[in-house]
Amino acid sequence: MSDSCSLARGECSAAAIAIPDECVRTSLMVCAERLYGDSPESFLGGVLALARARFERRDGNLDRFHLALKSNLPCAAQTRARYDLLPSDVLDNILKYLSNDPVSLARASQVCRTWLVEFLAQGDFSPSLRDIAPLVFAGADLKHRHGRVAATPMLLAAFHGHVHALDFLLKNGSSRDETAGCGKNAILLASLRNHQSLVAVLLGRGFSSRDMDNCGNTPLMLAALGGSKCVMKYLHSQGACMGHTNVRNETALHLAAQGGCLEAIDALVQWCPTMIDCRDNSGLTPFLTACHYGRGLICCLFSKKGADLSAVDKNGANAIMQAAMGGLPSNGAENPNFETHANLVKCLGRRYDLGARDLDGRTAMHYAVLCGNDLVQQQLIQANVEARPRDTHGADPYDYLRLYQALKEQNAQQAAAVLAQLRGVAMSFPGRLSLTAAHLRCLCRALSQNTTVRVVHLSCKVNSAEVEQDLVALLKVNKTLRHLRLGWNQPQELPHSVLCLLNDSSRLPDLHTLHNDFAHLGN
Amino acid sequence: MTTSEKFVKLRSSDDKEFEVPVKIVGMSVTIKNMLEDLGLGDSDESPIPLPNVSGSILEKVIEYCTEHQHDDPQPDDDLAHVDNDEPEGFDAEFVRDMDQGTLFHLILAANFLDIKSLLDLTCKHVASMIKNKGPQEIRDQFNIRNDFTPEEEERVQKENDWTNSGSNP
Repeated sequence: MSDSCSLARGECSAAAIAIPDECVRTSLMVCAERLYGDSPESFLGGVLALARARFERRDGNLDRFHLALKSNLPCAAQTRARYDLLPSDVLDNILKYLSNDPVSLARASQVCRTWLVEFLAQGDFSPSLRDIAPLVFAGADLKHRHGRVAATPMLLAAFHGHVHALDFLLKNGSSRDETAGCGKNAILLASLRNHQSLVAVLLGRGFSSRDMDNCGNTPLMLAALGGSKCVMKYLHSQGACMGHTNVRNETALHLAAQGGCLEAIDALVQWCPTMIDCRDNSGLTPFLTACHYGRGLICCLFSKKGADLSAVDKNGANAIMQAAMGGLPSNGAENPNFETHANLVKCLGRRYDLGARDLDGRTAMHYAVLCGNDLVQQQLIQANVEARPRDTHGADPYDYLRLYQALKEQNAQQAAAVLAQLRGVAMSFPGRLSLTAAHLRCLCRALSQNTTVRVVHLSCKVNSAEVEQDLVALLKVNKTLRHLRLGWNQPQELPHSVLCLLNDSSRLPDLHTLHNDFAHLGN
Repeated sequence: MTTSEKFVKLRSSDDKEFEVPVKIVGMSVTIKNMLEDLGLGDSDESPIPLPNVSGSILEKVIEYCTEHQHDDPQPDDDLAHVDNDEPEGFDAEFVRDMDQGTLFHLILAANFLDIKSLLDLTCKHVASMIKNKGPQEIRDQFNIRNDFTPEEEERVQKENDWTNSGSNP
């Protein structure tokens, strides 16, 4: 490029920067064409160079320029990133976060061949005996486990419904006792994936409709979760037990409510009407489970089938609160569709009192605020629900939110400040919290400076033994705290040393006197 | 200078050099092994070459490691302890609005450099973007070519038909 040309470009660039916004598109293109030529590459490069200079002059930096580029250029033009080319161990890592979301996993597996192979470990589409037999006879390792689910060839065949391949493998060395990492054997996998003919073959090969995975789920329950209607009908015709419950005391109907298949629910209610209001360990009925997962159509179906719509869980949370809670981390609900939950709250609001309270006096607003569901909050406010209701202990939704945020940031000072501002004497969090031992240690530090809070109820997955020393240290300093609960579904057993300190008679009165205390404080 | 903090130089694929405290680069198992096993980085004049990582991505990696240098080491991978919590604070800001290209190369860099927490963060972010989307939406978002034959696609769709059954209103 000659000096004169550079000079001309410099001057024109300066002119381009000064172009008024209203005619910038046309003028920049004209300038670019004159300066850089009209071939597509030169012209496009020219427009970008002029736009870049314009942003830099106006903003003093290129942040907005880069942002505009990222926002407006299609992904394919921005980068050569090809996510189908990610290494298999990386895809395995992504899969880890989808492993308890079968719907997303199944959808992602349909994206391309690589993802199908990695996400569902489905390397072939129709393996024939001609493909498999030579490998087996040549000594192929039938115990080799593939992928994060650690499935053997026989289990993979079961997952993908390859009847002949599975039959051949069973006859030639694969063991019927093989299970994948989650404890699912061949019939459980086939049931989940709606392979009815394979389930029939497996029942004739020594598998049973009473087989269970590590969570206590039977083939019928997994078929209900996966919406496998044909398998459900077949198992029912073979006399499978309808009323079995898993380790969380969930029935097949609970799992069908989670999975969201209308036909599966319809069939189960027809076969076993008494199942409709069964409760799991959290006190959730299938109807409340459907609310928790934001499944509006399923809720309507339960209503038509005569489910108890006034049911509440063990904390006294009703259908509205369950729907508002959608979004708190829990199994299978980490990535909620807030809009769906908001629609369900709107719909349920016609039937329920939106200001209803649970056993701790919390409203749907407490649940919605803590789980960050802005759309549900808007719905509630539009329905003239009190925006900052106080629970029985005097805490409003934002007290919980501020304390939760302080704990998540491990900011003990801020947590202590929130606790010090409380009007009441207890914090009893609605729903399940994603807290770690480090967060609980932060809470201990915050509580050690507090002299009013007597009850703390959290609902998290932390093993209390991990924080035993911190709890002991806290209770030695803080003589006010009387009641602690950390557990999730059931109150978690506290370490003996902690219980001894809590039961020390020199401590202040326990939970039974707290409501009176709070009323007194209010006066 | 009152402290004798050790620094190492890193050279990216586009020949950009970064001088970084050993403690920070030690979060990368790959670099740590290079330093310990191969004796690289002992001399200030010999930067560690990272031919798989560009300068802009290395800058992001260093930013992440600097923020997390005081974290406790993560336990070994364990299925029973998958952390499904949403990222918060710095981590949430770090991946928020990140374009697909940067995210892609950051994943590859975290994998190559063996920085487990960064790999987990970026993979979790990708997983969160996959959730609640259909196959075509995922292809569009991640620039993935549909390489199924029509017959294969039909079969895969049929097998996963249950994912579309009346789940939401």
